[in-house]
Amino acid sequence: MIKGGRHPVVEQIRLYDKFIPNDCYLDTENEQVLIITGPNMAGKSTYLRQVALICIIAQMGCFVPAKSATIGVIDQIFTRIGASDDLARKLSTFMIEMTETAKILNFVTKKSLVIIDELGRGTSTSDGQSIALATLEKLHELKAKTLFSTHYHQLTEINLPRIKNYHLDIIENDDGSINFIRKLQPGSTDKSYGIHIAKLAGIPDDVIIRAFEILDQIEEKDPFKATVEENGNGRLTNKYYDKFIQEKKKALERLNLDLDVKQREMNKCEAELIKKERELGKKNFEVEKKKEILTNLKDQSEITNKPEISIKKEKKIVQTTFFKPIILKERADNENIEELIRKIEDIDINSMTPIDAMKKLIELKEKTQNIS
Amino acid sequence: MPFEDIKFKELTPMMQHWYSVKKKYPDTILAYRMGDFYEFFYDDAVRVSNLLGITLTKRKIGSDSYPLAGIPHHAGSYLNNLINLGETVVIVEQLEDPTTVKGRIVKRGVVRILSPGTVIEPDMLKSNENNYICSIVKERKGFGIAFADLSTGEFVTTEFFKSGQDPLEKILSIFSQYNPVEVIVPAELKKDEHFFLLLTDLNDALIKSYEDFVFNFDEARDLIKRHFNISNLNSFDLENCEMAVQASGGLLAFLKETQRDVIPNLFKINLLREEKVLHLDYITQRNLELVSSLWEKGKDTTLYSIFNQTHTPMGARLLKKIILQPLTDINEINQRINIVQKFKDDVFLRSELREELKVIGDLERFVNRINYSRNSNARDLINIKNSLEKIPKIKKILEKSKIPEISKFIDKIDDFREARSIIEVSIKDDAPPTVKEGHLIKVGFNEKIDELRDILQNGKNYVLDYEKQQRDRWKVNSGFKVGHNNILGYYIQITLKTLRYITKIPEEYIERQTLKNAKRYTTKELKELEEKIVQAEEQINDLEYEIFCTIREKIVRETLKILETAKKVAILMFLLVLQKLQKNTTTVAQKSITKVKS
Repeated sequence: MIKGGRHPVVEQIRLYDKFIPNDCYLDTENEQVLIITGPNMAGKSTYLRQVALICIIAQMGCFVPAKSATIGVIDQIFTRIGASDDLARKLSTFMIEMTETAKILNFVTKKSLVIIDELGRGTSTSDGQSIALATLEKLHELKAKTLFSTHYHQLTEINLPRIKNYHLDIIENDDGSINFIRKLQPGSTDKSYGIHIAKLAGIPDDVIIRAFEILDQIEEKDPFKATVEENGNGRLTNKYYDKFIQEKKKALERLNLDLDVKQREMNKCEAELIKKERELGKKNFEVEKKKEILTNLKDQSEITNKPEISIKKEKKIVQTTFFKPIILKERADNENIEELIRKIEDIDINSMTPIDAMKKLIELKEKTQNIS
Repeated sequence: MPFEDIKFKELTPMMQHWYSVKKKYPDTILAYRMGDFYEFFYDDAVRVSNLLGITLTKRKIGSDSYPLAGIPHHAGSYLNNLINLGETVVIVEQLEDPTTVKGRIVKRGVVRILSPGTVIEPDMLKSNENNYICSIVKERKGFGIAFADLSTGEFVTTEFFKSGQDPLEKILSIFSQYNPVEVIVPAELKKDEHFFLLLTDLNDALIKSYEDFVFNFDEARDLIKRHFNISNLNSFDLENCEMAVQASGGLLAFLKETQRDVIPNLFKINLLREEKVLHLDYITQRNLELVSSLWEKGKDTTLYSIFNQTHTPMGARLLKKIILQPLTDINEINQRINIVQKFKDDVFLRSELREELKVIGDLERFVNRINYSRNSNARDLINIKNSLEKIPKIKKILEKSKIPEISKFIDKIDDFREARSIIEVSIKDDAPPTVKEGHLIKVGFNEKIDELRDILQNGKNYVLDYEKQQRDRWKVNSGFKVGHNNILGYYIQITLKTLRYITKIPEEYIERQTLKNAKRYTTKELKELEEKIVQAEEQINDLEYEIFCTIREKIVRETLKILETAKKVAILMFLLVLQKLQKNTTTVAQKSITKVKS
């Protein structure tokens, strides 16, 4: 018996919402087999695994994640949980399901714990149901403690002394959306909310609408006949279509409302932005102004402090630039150029005063005019 | 060139030897030691070069040539990679010093066979996992299976009869529990394709066939008796377990071959008793995500990952084992729970204990490493000492707690006073990883070593004196020195500039080498000095190695005791973790167990 049991791993991983603890009671006299029904995603699989893990942890000699627990010693744990094709071994989904089930039925003892998470899925509904039912009866007879989850709510009508029904429920909101409670309760449920889940998963709207319609027909009349007759027509009756339109309309309204609010917020922000930009412009202008003053001051100080250097610099610039016209102009007088070069080479800059240098520069300048 | 096409007669003597070894180990890669390299020839070379991406060259032999590839002998990572790729590598070493051999080829022999299941080198092992090698035999009446982990000295076996639950099912369950890296089966069984498909589905262990006859009952029984030195199988409760004996014997034979007969750390075979553990078939192991995740290879969604806060490799390995093999004995379970409860109640006890346990290293693997002497060094001894030092402290803490269950538990734990002190006084704490190059032994432990070290030190001083003396002789200060390198040994080096001051080079100066701006000379005196120093150095190194070996030998003799202690330490770690887990959960957990009414 486990009170307030929790799944040790899922509990650690799920950080955002709280893990809902669940009890589990199994014995040999009254509650030997539990059939767990409930919609998809309600937490059946988690519950089944949780019970098995708690048993294992207990037998490791460890405290278990539960409020309290009294657990009988188990000799074996069998599980039959989901499966996929095994193409390498040429086994189909259904074949794997069946071999695993066969193993359980052949080797289970009174002291074993059996976990079956849906049985008979990989074949036709009637075949699957029949196999599931027969398996349940056998497990009941073998007295192995069993947790059996299923979507075949017909199985819950089974009437054997040590089989009990439990279910995990979902609350359906007014607007058609669903909330998970994840609390185990006695009794069974025949709702599966499969189409809701399909919608959550992103199946196209028209497929969902059509699915609701077919579901209606199945639930109203005798199963398959009606649908089969109509199949392929793809005609959408008004009932679900209207409901859907309404839903969409509501959603649209909500979105519009949202849009309004957002728009207003945006306008506000924009005004703010313009204000800030203006302020920024002002400040930039001031900065520019100050920069200008600063450079002016700098220039002045340079001119007053180091006049020689500035003159020399000028001269150097002249020296380099006047080669260009010579090279570019092909009709240049070679002799003149050579003379000019010689003159330049003769200049001893180091021994010159700035004034001498200036004079020399003027002289050279005159010479260049001869060339062009 | 395929092996069959090699013409033995046309080979050189060395290659003939290679050929004869290769013939004995056909499905392996032969790493053939030549000087500083392990060389691979013919198809081995092609394969290795493909696997490791190393250069493939060719060697001429007459008009023909054959492929050749090599790796430096100290580059262990190449060998690691080969093993990790599922290859088996046979190591052929030079068995004598090549410098002493003249006129014939150096004697070589197989020293080790490396395969995924037989490595013990720490960098080839995952510290949180056991490294099991497995053997399976199939008989008309059922299956026998054995597992061994050389790195921890564990050896377990069991068997399943057809009359009971489907034996194949059980074999697969236990196989996935132990998750071996290598599987040995009789050649006969290797032909069973269906069986192999099932095995390969569970993990990607390397599956190897081995000679049928070692799995033969009589052969296997005799080998077990010989190895464990027992007169009959009663000692291990194996007298009625024919198939388990077959599997164990076969596995033992294989290990003996790969380790060249040296498997000193397997002390006993444990027979697994099915009824003592909660049986979880491999589908359940997988479905409940006990140790490996169903969807991703990521580990953080498994029961193991939630529990694993042991912080130590030994604890982690034990934890994995315990998750897959929960108990079924009500008394044992309750005993564990009681201890956990005590830890939970006593904050000081557990925090003190945790501090000590945290720093205990992987004692199991340290001690098993020194059992395979070729690979162990002084650091292993230091590691063992450091870990053992914690044992008395742990004992004291536990004694203080006065918990009856625990007192009983620590009763048999040894203090290892002798073992600790012998390492303490002898081995340097900062010993290098090499064992043949000295610097292992502490000052004051051995007189002879101290004396030799003195000579060595003085010899070096003498060289300095000699240098000074010669400088004075020529009245030079710079451009004159006595140096040392591996080729010339000790030499006098005089720069050309200084040479100008020395009018005549004396006869005793023998010119050895001319450099760009200096000349190097030796003298008889210097050579004599050098010889003395080198000799002292060699003597020290030899002596240190010798002493190291005797100390290692002494510790090796404690292996069994240390292993038993290590096991207890691991259990303590495990129990401490259980307590911690409980603390981490939001509500207080309480549980008791009652026996099932049947």
